[in-house]
Amino acid sequence: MKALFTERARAAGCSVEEDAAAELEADYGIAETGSLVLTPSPTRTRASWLEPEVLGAALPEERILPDLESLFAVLVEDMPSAVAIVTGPSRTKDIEQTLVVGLHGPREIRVCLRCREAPRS
Amino acid sequence: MSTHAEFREVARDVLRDEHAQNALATGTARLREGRLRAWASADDIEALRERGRAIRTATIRDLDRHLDTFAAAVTARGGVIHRTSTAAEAAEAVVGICRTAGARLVGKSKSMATEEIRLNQALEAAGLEVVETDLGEYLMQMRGEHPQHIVVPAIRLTRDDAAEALGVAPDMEELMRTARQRLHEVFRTADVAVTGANFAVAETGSICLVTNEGNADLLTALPRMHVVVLGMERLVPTLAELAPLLRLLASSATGERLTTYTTLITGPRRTGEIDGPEELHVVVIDNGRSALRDTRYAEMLNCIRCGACLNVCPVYRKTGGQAYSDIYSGPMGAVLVPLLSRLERSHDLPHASSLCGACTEACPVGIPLPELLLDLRRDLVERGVASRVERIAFTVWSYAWSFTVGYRLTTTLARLGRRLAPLVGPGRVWSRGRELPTFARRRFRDRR
Repeated sequence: MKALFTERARAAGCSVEEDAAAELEADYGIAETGSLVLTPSPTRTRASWLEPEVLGAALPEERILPDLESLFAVLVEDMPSAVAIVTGPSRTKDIEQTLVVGLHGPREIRVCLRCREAPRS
Repeated sequence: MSTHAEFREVARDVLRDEHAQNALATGTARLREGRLRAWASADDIEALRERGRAIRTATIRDLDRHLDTFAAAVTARGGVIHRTSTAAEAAEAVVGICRTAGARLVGKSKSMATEEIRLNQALEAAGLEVVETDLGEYLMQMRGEHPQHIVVPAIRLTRDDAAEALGVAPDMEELMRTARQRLHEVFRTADVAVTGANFAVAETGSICLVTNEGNADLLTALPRMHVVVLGMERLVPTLAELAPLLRLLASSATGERLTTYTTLITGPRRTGEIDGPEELHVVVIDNGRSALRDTRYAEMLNCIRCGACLNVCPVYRKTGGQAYSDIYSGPMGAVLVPLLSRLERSHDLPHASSLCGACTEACPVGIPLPELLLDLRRDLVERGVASRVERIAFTVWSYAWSFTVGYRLTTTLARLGRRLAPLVGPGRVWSRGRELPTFARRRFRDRR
């Protein structure tokens, strides 16, 4: 699961490290797509994963789920007000089909699988 | 809505525009290649397409029940449902919500449903300022144009065009910095966020939005009110059934495993949360959809708005979105626009196709677009919308071919007439973009 997640998250443009600085902790990861799953809480805004130019996200290995179906099975009983499934940095190809990252959200996402520092949220 | 003459006129201008031809050819080719790559790397794309088609068909068949479940779930989560029947009614509902909220600035995330109900015009007429936050859509808005592709609205614009629209130097860094600055100001100051919905999940009352830029996410985080304009057929019964549709949409639209920001919104902000809208309104639009469910056009409601059919259509790839209508374009638009508006008003669209079938092959849910286009053409004839010359020609032809003598006579005439036809009357118009095949010197039935 970890290997697949790492491969797919890198393909989507994230860096995946064992140890890196993290601003927040992802609720889940999805191996199939290399995505981070983020939800708001009384201590975390929806803007928090969109506003930093470089987003460091801790993702404890055991929170990596195999696919979208397994994520939805976990969520369905009690849907959070917002569930963001983030696959790579913010990107656009609207001008001349040229890839540009970081238009609205982060231009870089660093996923940290074994973060020793306590995330701030 | 365009008329026959207009489609041809607009198309002719685009055909002469070398720059537009290049942009369309490369843009659609890259999108097509992206889809083919993504489909090839999927586990079993044919099984996925079949599953997607089955989910969509079953959902449409039982749409009323799913709509009731959805409405109940939205209400239970504190959202407000507004059911509307016509486009004007839907636009009026959104304007009403914005007025009640005392809104001045409305931020929008790209939505074809809002184009369909001409929401921007309605909001502006009511004195509100409207700003699109998807980059391509924002550029088109600055230029006073309509989106020309349902996924890549500014498909025909170059860096220079974009720079001109924003009033900056044609440098990508500069463009992005300016756009980011201006649009972030909109996220911060808009009173109302208006979005469409890629899907809506009945069992949970969730709205699913997908963007690669993340604009819908910022837009639904900061303003105090969120208004969703939902085409009634966007429903999916369960979250479990959403998963395959998301895979189909992402791979078919932009060649990805999953769109960068795939977001589910369920009700307004909850107690204790720091951001997110305090109010969530869902305006459900019918605008002719429910009338299609029991017709042979029902399958058109299966469309997931990925744009794959545009990217392979020989007519779209040459003429671009402008010639079709100001809403949907390409093969899906040629079918949907006449069905949602009055067929008579867009009678040129069913003819804007060579019926080659590339669209059906590209369609993730296998909608038989060429068959539907042919059915629409038949409807046009039945309603007497087809041109008189065309009707007379086909009446004479079918009569002539009901006799052996008539058949022989016309095939002989056709052989002789092949050279003459392009020179006179309707033959001249017809042959402008087409070539008659060469006839054999001897008919097959005469060869022994």
